[in-house]
Amino acid sequence: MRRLAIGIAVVATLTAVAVTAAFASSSRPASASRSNSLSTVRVVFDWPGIDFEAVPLTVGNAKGFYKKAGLNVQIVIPPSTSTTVQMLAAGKGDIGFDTTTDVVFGQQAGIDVKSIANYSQNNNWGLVAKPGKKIDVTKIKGKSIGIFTDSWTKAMMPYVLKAGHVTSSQVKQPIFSSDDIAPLLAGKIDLATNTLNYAIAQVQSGTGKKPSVLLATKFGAPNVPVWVYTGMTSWLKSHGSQAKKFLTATRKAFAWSIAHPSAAVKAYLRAYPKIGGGLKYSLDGWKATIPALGPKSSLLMQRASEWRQVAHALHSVGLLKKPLSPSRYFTNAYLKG
Amino acid sequence: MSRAANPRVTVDDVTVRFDGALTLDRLSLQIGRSEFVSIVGPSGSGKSTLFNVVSGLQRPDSGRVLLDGQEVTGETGHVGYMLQKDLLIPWRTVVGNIVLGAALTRGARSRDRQEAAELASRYGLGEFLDHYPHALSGGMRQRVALMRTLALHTDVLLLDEPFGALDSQTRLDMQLWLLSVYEDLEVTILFVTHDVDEAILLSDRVAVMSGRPGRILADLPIRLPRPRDLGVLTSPEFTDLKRQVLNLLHQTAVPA
Amino acid sequence: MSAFLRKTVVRLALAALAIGLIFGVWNLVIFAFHLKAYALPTPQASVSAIYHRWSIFQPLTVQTVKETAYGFGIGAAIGFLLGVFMSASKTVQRLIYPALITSQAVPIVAIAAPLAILFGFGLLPKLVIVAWVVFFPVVVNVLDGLAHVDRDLINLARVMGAKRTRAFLAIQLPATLSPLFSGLKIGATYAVTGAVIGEWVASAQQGLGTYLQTANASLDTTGVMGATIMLTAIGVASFLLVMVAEVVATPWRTRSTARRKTRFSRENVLTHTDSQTSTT
Repeated sequence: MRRLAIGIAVVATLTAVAVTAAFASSSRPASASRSNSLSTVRVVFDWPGIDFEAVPLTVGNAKGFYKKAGLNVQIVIPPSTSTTVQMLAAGKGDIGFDTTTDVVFGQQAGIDVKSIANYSQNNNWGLVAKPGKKIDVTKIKGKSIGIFTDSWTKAMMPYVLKAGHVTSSQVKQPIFSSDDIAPLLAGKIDLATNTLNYAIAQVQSGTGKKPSVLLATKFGAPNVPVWVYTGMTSWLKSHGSQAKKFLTATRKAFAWSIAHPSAAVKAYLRAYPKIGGGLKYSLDGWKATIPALGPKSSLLMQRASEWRQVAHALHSVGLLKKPLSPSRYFTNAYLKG
Repeated sequence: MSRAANPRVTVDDVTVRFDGALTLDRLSLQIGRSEFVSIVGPSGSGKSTLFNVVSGLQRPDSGRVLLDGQEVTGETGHVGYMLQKDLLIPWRTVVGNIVLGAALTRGARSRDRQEAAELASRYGLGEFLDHYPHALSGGMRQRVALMRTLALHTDVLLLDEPFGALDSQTRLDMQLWLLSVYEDLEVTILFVTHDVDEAILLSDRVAVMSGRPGRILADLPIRLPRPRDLGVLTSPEFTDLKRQVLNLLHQTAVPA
Repeated sequence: MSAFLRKTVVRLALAALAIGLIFGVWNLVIFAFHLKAYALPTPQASVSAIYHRWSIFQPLTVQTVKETAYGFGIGAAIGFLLGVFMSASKTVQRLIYPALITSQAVPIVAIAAPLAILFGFGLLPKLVIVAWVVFFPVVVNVLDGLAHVDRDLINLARVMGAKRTRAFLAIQLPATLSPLFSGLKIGATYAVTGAVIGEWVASAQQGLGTYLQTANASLDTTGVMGATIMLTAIGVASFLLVMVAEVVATPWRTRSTARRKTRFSRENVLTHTDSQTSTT
């Protein structure tokens, strides 16, 4: 009996220690940890699996841009989609890599998250068809268009319907959660919707041919950026210089990655050797992303008009109750210096 | 052994082997019309095997079974059969269980159900016609099982320790009840039991079976007047018969 | 108040109490961990979301219920037939059983995507997934039920002169009802999850599963919880429906007497009084 009591006490103590340690490590603020006098910045990705859009971040580490700025940038993979904002709010990350729509929704949910830099400068969302098949957006009546469940798709689809002069019930819109390109190539749907860098990469690495694409901006969708870097206002206030250093170094990493795409992708693959897709997919994807990043002179820079347009688009499809003023969504303050 | 001119049931020189060992060894037995014959014997003496052979469930390795002189070896459907387990079907009512024989062969008709209801009413279960078995006591369930057997109209019943699972008070009630049914309907009964008192109380003859390999060692006529009642159990004739049976049993208790 | 009515009222009160308890703990967790609405909304907010958005939720619920119900029916039928066939032949059983067990070990999420490619994005792939989830407990239970029918009862039927098929239909088949319903209760609870997974991979029609993802994508946590509550309700309702069906289909488990009474006049019967002791 006594041995049993001692045994239970030991197990309980060990459990308590383990739980406390787990709690302690998970709530450790970023600035408190220093490795070789570098401050750690945790960047939370937007998708539960890393892909080629993380090339600039990995190049920043591989080429020492972050180290020279005194930063140790760690990429954190979220457990699920649309959780990046929540992870920042919960203190599990310092800077987020996310979509513009998630910032708008975050503010609607009462989370004071702001965009501190554009990742892409253009709206590269559009329609995709099998290689060689021409896309005529005016002739979509009765066709099947694969869509995803994310908010960007929901905001953009009305422009597709308007351009095709059809109502939502006049086209079939099968919903996919992770992949609508495979069904497109298998002939199960007529058109797929996607951001074109991913669509091109997937089709090229799968079939060796370029898919037929049509940018949504060509038929009236607003030319607003899809991805941004974000941060909680509270973190930015207390880590302003780190944020500035991060963005400065990131701009350098962007420039280098655009100028040396193959080397950049190889550096990314060295950092993440086990990812799916491989060299061809990642290189095709990064090359297809470059056009969306904008001219070198305005890398990362944001404009208020973009945020007005995003909020307006979300409001008109009923996803946003009340558009806020753009200054609630973004700040360029950390891009200077 | 009493040989009636036309024995109702004849077991003729039946031998059964199992796994190389003899279970029944050239067993012969005759039961006359409306006779009540009990078989007593040690456990494992092959009484159940004898039942399976007579009911047609099992073919003997040699020997025959005759009913009214006609060979029925290995054929089922000629006798009624009742075990210690009532084997009542849980999703059928009392009436539904009584007509089971008809239901399983030609289909139960309303005439069968009326007969079943009459049978049940006559023997005290009139208030329980539509009850499910789980709502009845053990004794009532065995009564229903016996009525199911009677409803087959085979007039030959094989009863394998039907009251063994009941408490002694209920068992006595059931024995007296069986006696009255037997006297009412004049059926032919082959009855297996461990209980010597029960055997003597109920039967016209008590056959003593040996241990394995099973054969009939002795056949004792029970000359007690009918109709019988409780008083029989304490009469001097009863005690005398009991002594004889016990002696015979004791001799066979030595393992073969 | 009749006994049945009283029992039903008590049962409903207990159910309401259980729900109240769950909601209470839910609120407690939010309070204790200082959870904001964007992390975990309150049950009140989630239920209110269902109420206010009912025009959206209603067709979604109908769609998911359709997938669940049809898939359940198909899975139950296949499970039952498989169980009966496998009990009839030991060879068939030895051949098929390992394959069935393996089928359940495969994670549904893994097979859902190829199913969508094969069968498209309509109702069919969801039916397949739901049936997949439902049929196995049914097979196992029906097989066990048939294996446990009393050997003596079957012998009794044979002694009475029943042919093998007749005995099977009258004795073994009805004996499968109780284990069948056990299997159905298990399947019913998991069926709706199968429908949701089916919707997640590819869906031509919007259901509660697709709504879960869309709401999640716009940080609409009350919408997510509202849809989750609806899905839970479907699961619970499925279970209860099977329970009711069980009571109706197997009345001997809950009643002492059958509903239909034997019509019988006792006037012409000579009641046997000799051994009329107690009703034992």
